Amino acid sequence: MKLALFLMLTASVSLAYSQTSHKNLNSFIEKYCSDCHADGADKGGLDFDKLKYSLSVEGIFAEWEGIYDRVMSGEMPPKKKKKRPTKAELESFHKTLSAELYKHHGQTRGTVLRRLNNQEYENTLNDIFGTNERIADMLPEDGRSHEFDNVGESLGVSMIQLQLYMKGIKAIMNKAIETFAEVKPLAKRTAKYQDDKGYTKFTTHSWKELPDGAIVRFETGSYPNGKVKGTGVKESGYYRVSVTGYGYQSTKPITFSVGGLSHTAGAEKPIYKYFTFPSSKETTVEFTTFIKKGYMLTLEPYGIHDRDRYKRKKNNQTIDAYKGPGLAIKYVTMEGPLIDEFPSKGHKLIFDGLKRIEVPGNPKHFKKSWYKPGFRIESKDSVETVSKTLYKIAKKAFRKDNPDISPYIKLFKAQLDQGEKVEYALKTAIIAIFTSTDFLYLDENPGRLSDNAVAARMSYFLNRTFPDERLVELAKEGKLSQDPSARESELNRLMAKPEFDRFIKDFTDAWLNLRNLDQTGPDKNLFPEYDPYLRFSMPLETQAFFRELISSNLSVSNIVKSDFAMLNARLAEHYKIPDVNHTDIRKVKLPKDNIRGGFLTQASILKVSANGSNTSPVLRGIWVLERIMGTTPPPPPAGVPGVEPDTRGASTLRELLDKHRDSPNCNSCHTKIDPLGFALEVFNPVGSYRESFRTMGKGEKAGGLVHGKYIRYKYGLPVDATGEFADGRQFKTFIEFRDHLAQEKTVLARALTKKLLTFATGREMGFSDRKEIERIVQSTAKNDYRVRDIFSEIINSRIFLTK
Amino acid sequence: MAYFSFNKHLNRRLFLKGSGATIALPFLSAMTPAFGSENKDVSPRRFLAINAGLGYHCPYLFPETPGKDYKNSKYLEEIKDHRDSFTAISGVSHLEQSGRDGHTSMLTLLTSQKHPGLAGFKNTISIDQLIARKIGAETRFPYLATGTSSSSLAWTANGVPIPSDRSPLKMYQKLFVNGSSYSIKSQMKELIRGKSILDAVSEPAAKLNGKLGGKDKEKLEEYLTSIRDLEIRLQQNQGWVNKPKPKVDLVVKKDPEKLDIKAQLDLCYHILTLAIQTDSSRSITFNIGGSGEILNIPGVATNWHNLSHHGKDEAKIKELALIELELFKCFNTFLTRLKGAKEGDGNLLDKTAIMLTSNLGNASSHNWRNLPLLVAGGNFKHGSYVAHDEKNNQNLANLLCQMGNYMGLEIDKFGHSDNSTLKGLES
Repeated sequence: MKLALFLMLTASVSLAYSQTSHKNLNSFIEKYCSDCHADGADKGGLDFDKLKYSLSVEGIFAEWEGIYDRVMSGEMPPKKKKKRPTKAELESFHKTLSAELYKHHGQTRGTVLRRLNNQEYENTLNDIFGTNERIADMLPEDGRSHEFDNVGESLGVSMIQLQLYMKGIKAIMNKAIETFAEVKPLAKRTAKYQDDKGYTKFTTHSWKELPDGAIVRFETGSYPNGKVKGTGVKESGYYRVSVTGYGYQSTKPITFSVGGLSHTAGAEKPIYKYFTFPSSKETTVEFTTFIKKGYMLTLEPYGIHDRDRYKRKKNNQTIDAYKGPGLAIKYVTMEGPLIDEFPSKGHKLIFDGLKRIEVPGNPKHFKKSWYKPGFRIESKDSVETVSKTLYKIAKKAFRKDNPDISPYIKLFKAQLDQGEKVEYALKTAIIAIFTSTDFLYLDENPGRLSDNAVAARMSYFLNRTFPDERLVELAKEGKLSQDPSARESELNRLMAKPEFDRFIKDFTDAWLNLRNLDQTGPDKNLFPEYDPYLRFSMPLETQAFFRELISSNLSVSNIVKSDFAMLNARLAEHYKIPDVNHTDIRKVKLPKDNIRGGFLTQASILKVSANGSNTSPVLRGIWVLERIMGTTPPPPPAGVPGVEPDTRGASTLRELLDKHRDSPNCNSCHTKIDPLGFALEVFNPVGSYRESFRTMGKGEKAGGLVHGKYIRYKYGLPVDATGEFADGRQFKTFIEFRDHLAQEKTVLARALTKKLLTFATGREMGFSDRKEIERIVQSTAKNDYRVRDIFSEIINSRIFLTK
Repeated sequence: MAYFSFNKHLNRRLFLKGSGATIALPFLSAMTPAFGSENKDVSPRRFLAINAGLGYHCPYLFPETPGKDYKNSKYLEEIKDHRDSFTAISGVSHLEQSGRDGHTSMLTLLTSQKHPGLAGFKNTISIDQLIARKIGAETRFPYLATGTSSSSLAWTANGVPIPSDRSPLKMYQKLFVNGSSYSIKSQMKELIRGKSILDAVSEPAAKLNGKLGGKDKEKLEEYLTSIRDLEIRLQQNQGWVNKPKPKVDLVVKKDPEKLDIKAQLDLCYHILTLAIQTDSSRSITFNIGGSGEILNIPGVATNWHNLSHHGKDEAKIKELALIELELFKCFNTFLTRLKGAKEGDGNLLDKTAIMLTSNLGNASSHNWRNLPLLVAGGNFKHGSYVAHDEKNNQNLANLLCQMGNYMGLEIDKFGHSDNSTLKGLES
């Protein structure tokens, strides 16, 4: 054999795998792999002459792991090869290589010293001080490992970050410390369009003023917009908002949004909530929402279109000539910022025990809006009191019972010695506490985790913040690390807290990539149905769906196939599901054999897996493979150009891909990736069902109106959603595809388990975790692989409880 | 457990050696020329990297034939006045950039690491930061990381991104507006406070360091380095706080409308020209982020990101070109400004090496090969179009290495470079 000779001659120089010191591995590779992967051949970019056997190097480890998986799954050597390894040979290959991989991965698998990520940092500070500051946005973006932004290894720290951490805690303290000694009465305002004197210039052609004082608007999202000038917010916080009005000249209820508008250049335009007003019956809707400083409310009708307004203007007619439906607004009330307690939690935390006395300023200024009194701390034994304060704060900040606060007391004293005032010096010490390693990094020792560490893991996993009193108590009793039933009841409790919403959001942002929902804006001509109401509803649907899988403890098969969906009227319209009229998201039973149900048919998912104008089966296939089936395909080998989409209508991307799939280099991965994407071709980039691709080029005219505008796109080439799974099972429709996939419960459960474990522990799962993950999956098998059950298994798993 | 070393004995001496209090001393002496010394290099060299996150339509950028006598392309026509001051180079890219998604090649544009965002990826220092490390102490700002969004090209040695200054107004204030004497006093007070805080947190950090092993220790090193870096920076800032900022002939009162890309770029370029002219910084990055919104340009009715995914649709390419032409018009104004600013015997353009590029060669397919690339200014021999093989690209890291050398770094390699100069670009 040529290779063997070559091996002998140059063994000491380059022959990587000959250094494995495993004769059976070497001979297996030589016998079954070398034709294509050695001796000058490097199919798929794998060349055993060059691949070293240094398993401690991350990239090389990944290559060997891939080799192991492909041989064990039967993918390699390729089916067409006549020479097949015997059972005994495979067994020996498996034993040797898996033991080595297990050993190497096991040595390095522990979570790398993990700092709080930006969101965890913000939550923790807000929860300790009782504030609502959005400080995560000012920090540099967290590093990511695949989809997760809480993996210790990928979370770095820089000088700028330290500076911003100091700024962050300063901002929190500024907000928490009360400016006045007495609580100010809650400000309540009533505002209407008439408050703005200029409103009459709109009431001839566009708006209509009714005798009861209501202003009616007839057109969705157009000039003049629906801002209510008297609702400007000078202080960020939660506000209670009510809107009073009714549907005008309408047989049906009128839908509208309450959003925020800021005149700062480039400011985002949040929508807080959608409501409906019944026809002709005065109604008040009320809700509570967070509003940022500098914003005012804006009300926009949805789904009504005054198509006559230009004609009226030309014919010099007033709005009275128009008989179409409108949104009548009488007035808006606003209360806030709402206060949980006074003085704030943070204020008490900082100043309790200290005598803080108001020092009034110039009496002439008392009535001025900008007037603020000064304060002075009168305490003879300030060091002793402040030590107690710092101890209290550090217990929370460091997530431990006996924090060492000597460096901070020392700092406080040094500040006093330099002539600083008590309050300033105390703040300096607090800034230091929240810039220290004890606060920023989770304290986890290798091996079995301590009770404190388990408390922190559970808390950051499920509530995304520092452990609450109950967790701390249990940790003190030593129950969390030892008693599975204590953990189980904590799981229940933490899932019932409002902070569990944060988990739902952060986890789906990462796992399903919902955070990228706005990365592309859909082409307005091709996808005119995309509108703010749909955009608003998309992530809510997916988050509510995941929450439902957990709270009703449904089987993982629901991830791809469910007989219900979480819908409001807008989503139901988009999916053509009849009889859904509410603006809030509710569980809706789907008609039999409906194409919707499961994550893959949700508009949010279909949007994040596409760009604004076209869908790529490859990108969507990778999305499904990675996120739903839990397999990460390797990056394409170097030197292979991608396929450039061509939307002119002459050929579909699938046809273009077919030409490239001939190459065996591409084929081995793309037979696994592309079919998953083919099935999803029946959904366009905003999640509408389609049988042909839309085009602005050649095609059949679509015609009709969407959102009051003529449709400009045409119907082009037909969609081909047929395909074949890597194991040979074929599907002709999306429904067949999802039915096949829904049966793969082990695959679905394994993938979800892996994602949850990664998020919960802050590290990537690897080779030596496989056994434990398999155990978790198998123990949920007997009861149909239910999602809530997986959570229970996770918090009791060895992976979760050790580092 | 192999990854945990029971090294309870903390090498305190080693730690302290590297930590704040002592490092400030040698640094201070190194700093002296920066504070008010007269014999400053009258005409120092500068480096500027400009990236457009959504790429340029390369068929409109690169001429048809290489060499000195090329006929201007659609985009080069816009900067034809500066033909002798730049080189267009095609067929260049970084190695193996397929990453987490189609746009992650931006993370590595100035670092040249492979597979951005995939498992095991760790970014490293960007060339502008390496330059700043060497010569940053000479100027008030060791570097300027700027852009139209917060995403940045600048990365620390630990692979942490340095966010961009994205508000021209704030950039302007930072560079040229002096605070009141009260605010200067309180800035100084905060600097001193910052140093005391760093002193305090060094202690628990050192303690923790003593307990850790393996990768944990490496991770904590990032924190320790950050403390040291920040100590140096605060020290440095203390020297600058009391020095008045340079006076310039420009008044900025508010940020331009976000969608008015022309106003934005013109103002940013103007501020950068002044920053260069006043020697406020010598290592600058400017990242023109793509916008998911419809820009304020006549004839443009579709959002930029969407246009970049034109799928060969001619109407879309036409619209896209309207945006990109605007980018080149602004760049032209910038080059004219630099050339018009005299310094020593020459002008600022001769002293500023500019690379204008994108992390995407074809944004429509997220292709990171065959990047659009112009090198302007500096001491390079300009005036031609160099076309490298589009199948077998030259390595962009070589240019980064060359830029480093231009700025006085003594390196023969940067990132994954295979040469210290980019073929076709001579000085």
